[in-house]
Amino acid sequence: MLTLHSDHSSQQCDGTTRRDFLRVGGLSLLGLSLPAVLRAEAAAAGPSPARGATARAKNVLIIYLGGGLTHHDTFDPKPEAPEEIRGKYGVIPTGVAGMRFTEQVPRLAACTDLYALVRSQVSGSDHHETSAQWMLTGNYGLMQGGDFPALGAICTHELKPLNTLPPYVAIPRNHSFTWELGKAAWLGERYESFKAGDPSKPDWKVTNLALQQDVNRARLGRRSTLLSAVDDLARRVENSGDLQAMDAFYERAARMVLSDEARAAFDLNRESERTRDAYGRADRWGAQALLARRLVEANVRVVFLQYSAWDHHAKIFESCDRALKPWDQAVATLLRDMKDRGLLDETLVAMFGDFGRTAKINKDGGRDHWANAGSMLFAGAGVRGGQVIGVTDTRGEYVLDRPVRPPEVAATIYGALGVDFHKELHTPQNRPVRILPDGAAAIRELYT
Amino acid sequence: MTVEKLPMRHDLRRALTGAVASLLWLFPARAAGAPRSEAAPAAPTAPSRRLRLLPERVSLDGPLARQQLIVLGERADGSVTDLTAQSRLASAQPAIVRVQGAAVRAGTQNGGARILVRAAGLTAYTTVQVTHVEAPVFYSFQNDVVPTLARLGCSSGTCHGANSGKGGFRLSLRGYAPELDFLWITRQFAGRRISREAPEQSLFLRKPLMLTSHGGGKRLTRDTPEYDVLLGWIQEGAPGPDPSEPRVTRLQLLPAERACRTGEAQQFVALATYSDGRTRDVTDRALFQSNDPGQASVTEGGRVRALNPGQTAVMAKLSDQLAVARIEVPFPQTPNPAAFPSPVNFVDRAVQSALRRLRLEPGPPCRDDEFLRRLFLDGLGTLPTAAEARRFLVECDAERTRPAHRSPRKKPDPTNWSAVPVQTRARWIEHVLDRPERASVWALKLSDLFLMRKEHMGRKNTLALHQWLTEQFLANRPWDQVVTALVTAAGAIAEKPETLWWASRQSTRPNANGWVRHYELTGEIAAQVFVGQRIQCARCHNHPTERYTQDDYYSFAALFAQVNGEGRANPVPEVFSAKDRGEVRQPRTGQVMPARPLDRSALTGADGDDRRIGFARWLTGEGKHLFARNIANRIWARSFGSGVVEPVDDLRSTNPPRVPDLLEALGDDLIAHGYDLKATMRAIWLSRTYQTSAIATPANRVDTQYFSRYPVRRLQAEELLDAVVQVTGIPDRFANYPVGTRAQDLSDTEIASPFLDTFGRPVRVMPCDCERGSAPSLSQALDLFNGENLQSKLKDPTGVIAQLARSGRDEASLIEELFLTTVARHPRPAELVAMRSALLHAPDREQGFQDALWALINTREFQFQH
Repeated sequence: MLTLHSDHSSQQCDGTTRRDFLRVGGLSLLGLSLPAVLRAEAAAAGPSPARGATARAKNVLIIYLGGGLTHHDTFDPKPEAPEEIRGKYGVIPTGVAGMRFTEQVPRLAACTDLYALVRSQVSGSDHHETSAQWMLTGNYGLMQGGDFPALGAICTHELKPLNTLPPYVAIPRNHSFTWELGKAAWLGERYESFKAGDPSKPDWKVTNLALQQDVNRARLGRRSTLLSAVDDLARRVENSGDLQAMDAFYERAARMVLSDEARAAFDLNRESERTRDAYGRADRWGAQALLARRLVEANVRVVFLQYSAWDHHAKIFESCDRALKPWDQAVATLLRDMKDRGLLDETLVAMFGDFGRTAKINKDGGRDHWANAGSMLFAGAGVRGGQVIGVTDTRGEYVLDRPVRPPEVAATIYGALGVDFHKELHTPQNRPVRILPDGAAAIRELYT
Repeated sequence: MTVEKLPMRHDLRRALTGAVASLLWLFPARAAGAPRSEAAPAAPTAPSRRLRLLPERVSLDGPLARQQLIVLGERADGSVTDLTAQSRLASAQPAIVRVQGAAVRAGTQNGGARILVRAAGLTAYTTVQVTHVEAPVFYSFQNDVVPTLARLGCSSGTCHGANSGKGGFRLSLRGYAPELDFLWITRQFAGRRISREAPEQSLFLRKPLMLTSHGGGKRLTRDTPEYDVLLGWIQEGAPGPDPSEPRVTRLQLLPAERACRTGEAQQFVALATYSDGRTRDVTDRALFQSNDPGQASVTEGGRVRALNPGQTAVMAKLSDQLAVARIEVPFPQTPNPAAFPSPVNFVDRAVQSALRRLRLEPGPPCRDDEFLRRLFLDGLGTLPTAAEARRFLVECDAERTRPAHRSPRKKPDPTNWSAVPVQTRARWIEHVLDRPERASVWALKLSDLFLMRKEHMGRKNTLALHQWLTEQFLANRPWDQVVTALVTAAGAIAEKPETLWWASRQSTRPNANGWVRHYELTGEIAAQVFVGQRIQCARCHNHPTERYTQDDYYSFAALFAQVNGEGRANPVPEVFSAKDRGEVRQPRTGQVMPARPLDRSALTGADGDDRRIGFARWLTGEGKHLFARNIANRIWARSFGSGVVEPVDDLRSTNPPRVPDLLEALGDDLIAHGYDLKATMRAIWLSRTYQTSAIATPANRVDTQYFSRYPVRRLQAEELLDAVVQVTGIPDRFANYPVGTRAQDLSDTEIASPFLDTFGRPVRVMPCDCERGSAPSLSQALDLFNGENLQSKLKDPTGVIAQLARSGRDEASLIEELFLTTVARHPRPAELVAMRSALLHAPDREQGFQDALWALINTREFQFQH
């Protein structure tokens, strides 16, 4: 079995070690070009595993509905149920015969051909952190505490980067309720997401990526020249992986800052007013979804888009009146736009959250955590659109058919990218850990 | 011990091309003697002078007893070669002892027999005692079947030993629970795995033989000892584990240590001693494992091959016993004896002796400025200021020009140890030992390991415990007293902040009043932080590389199970006390475990006493070596970036120190100084080992582990931030902390700081040093290369640059000031030229100096300890 250690001396199956990569990286200072560094890094990241039937994605876009979306008031309405369950929204037909949504998500109802809806999420825990941890790692049953690397970090560890952009970007940052999840945990900071921040804010710019106002290209060039004149430690000290890795990262950083590729990807001003209007400007979703599309287009491996505003324990309809329409507009436009640009051919889009919400509206006019049913959306990279998977009971409380648990969601994402999720990784304490628990498998129905 | 350069295969090749090859070919055992006539340098293929046989005494007990012998050829220089495979044995009394390759077996009669061993043209004799050949053959479930299943891989973690088993059949991981294995094998699946009527038809055999389809493939072959064991056991009627059967009480590996050339192989033998006094060859039962498979490989059968220069250990494990053999592989070079400076203290003696054996050469001394920066960062977590650097360098020069140091005509050679200003360095070591920042360094370290974060105990409580820790180090309270105070803490948190060590929301103890940390986690922290033992594995199964069992884990946890809280001082209890009965059950057996330390020594004190007091006594009593070596290793790691034992908190017996004797010496020295941590720091910093240059020399460039040169490492997140703040003069702001608070003085890892997170501040959920990230990353490079935070500090009108630019001092002196501030040295002429040229091209003086400081901060020299 191929095992990858997270420490520096891990042996890859092509015989190079991570230390080799670091050593090669160090040569950059002596004139090795960046593409060569990237090639070496790609070798260090190991060859792509055999791509299975579902593996056709180059990128993944995860839209995370933190807090737990109310499935009753969106994708899985129960109009025949008593009022304290069905809520206040009417229902509308969708592109799939017999499938109805609430009137709050008209645009997603109109483009069901683009995606498959799963109405049978069973996250297994009513607790935010636990459930989010399971959904974001696929490690169902894992202890809470943020101690397992998230999907994005594992993908970054397992796959070659596609360009000079960071391979894993979170918009605006990783999911966080009381503490931050979606981190690289013991894989290390190298595999952590790059935080894009919130592009809907007027003064938004990506941390440290754009040139400073008072440090233009020429000045940064002068600084770099000066730096190379006074920085000779790496040359005098040999065999230090960290010193040489730092060199490689400096070179990448310089490349990112000085080249247009990264900056262009993050520059929403390059989009037309019409496009920005289409994504919506009323709420922050529009700008964030648009940035997500740009990053996918620029070939960022894993884009993690966080829509965390759904923990409606009270006055759920007041909140949903405001929040659902802009979200519906942003996601529907995103899917349509990706389709039009051909991005859905090689990008898997997965939208899910911690869990669904309780059927019965509580005394505060809200819905509480509910781990036994919820809705998820999958699109692109071979997913057959226009279908619904799973059925909940008449109250929308329990899954009657085809429960889908966190490991299957993760396996679907890994499978799409061709990440071998049966592989064992080693923790810093050298404990062998499988990426996903035994028996995990992708949601087959998405592809049939 | 010297060891040859050439691989062993060479012996044979030379022999074959030799004049008498055709004759020798028939007797390869004698081939090694052939090159004797050659005039070539003797060492690589020097002939063996004498044979040594292991084990020295052989006794065979029972009809199936067998013992593999190890035949070593000893050379004149004391080095050895493995002649086992080419040796020929002959028994004087085959009825008593039969020979089989290099092994002996019991014959049909009891008695003693002389065995003649021939190899490499030499002979040796040993006497073998045979007893109980008349006893009936008996295969024991726990002593024969369970180890065989482990050895065949059946109970490994990737097969049936997985938590959920495989294919519906589960075994305990590597056989830690024989009683469960027995149930699963004989009762589960309606008992269909075993056929007592037709033993050979048992599914239990047919599956691994691949006579019935088996997901794990073919694992077993007929007519092998393994097959005999499994079949024999079923034929006996498949008896279950019997507590009255002898247990393994000791395991031994022979030879106990071995120096090898790269590529050389050595057969090892594992000997088990049982509780009835018998010994038995268990080479075919034990599990072998290399501590560093990149350094030496080991086969299932115990044959070790040295792969790369360096040293490592090979381990054998059987039941809950284990044995270790050290493997040392010298580098293929000849060090210059003159490169070894005279040792200053026990540190140098131990390191130099290891370097000599490994054929590495220590580097030259580091420069004075390097020493000062190193000492300040390791000791205080802070850079020397420009003024301190200047003063130190002047004092060094003064000492060097004193007549005692050199003849006035000769310019001192910086690569020569005799030019090192020893007294000045010693004086400044004392200065650093007395500075208060030293306490911050260690309070921070312990705050990490004690998992201090708001979410676990509330911010104000992290502050109080952090403050208490800082005070202990300020007062240089002996380490045993600090730890005793923590682990036995009782009383009101308001009066005794050390009681907060027991507070945590993390895995709150069931039924405890308020946030009392679960005894399991407390046990894990105590084991890992105070005695360097990682016991987490044993919570669920036997530790794979240490002798700890689940019993040991829960017995240890029981030491900490009496603590409960009273009252509620949001969110933790107001008062902690150890009044509970503290009954801890081992979850697998349901047994209430006796509280005891990890070495299974009995706890002193009566029932109902505070067990923690007994534990504290154990730490400085029977556990004192582990206790002292653990903290000494941590101090070493603080000074060298990695421990004498690495990982730093993994002092298990199967993970020997990189430098033998050093850890022992450090521990003993600490005990002799009454656990005065300053004494250990002083000894390390005074040593020439610590004062060695980081720059590679031809004779030590290959070394990244054995301290022949000083290892470079990136500054810790907090140190780096404090350093940036110090050299720019503009502090970072931390919510709810006064402006100017150093990052190293934060009590709680949840205080927001993107910089600290980017540079690897630990999240504090595991009591493990490995949580702190030191690896470089793209975000780190971006942060310093193009960071807004740094740029705003550089251009702040109240910052260092603005002040310097306005000061009216001349350019050269300002450049010098910046160099001394950041890297504690004067600029070299070429650097001065580059700086002046950059200043010339800058639009204005202030921008030019901003760029100069930017460049210095972005050097590896600034960001790394070297």
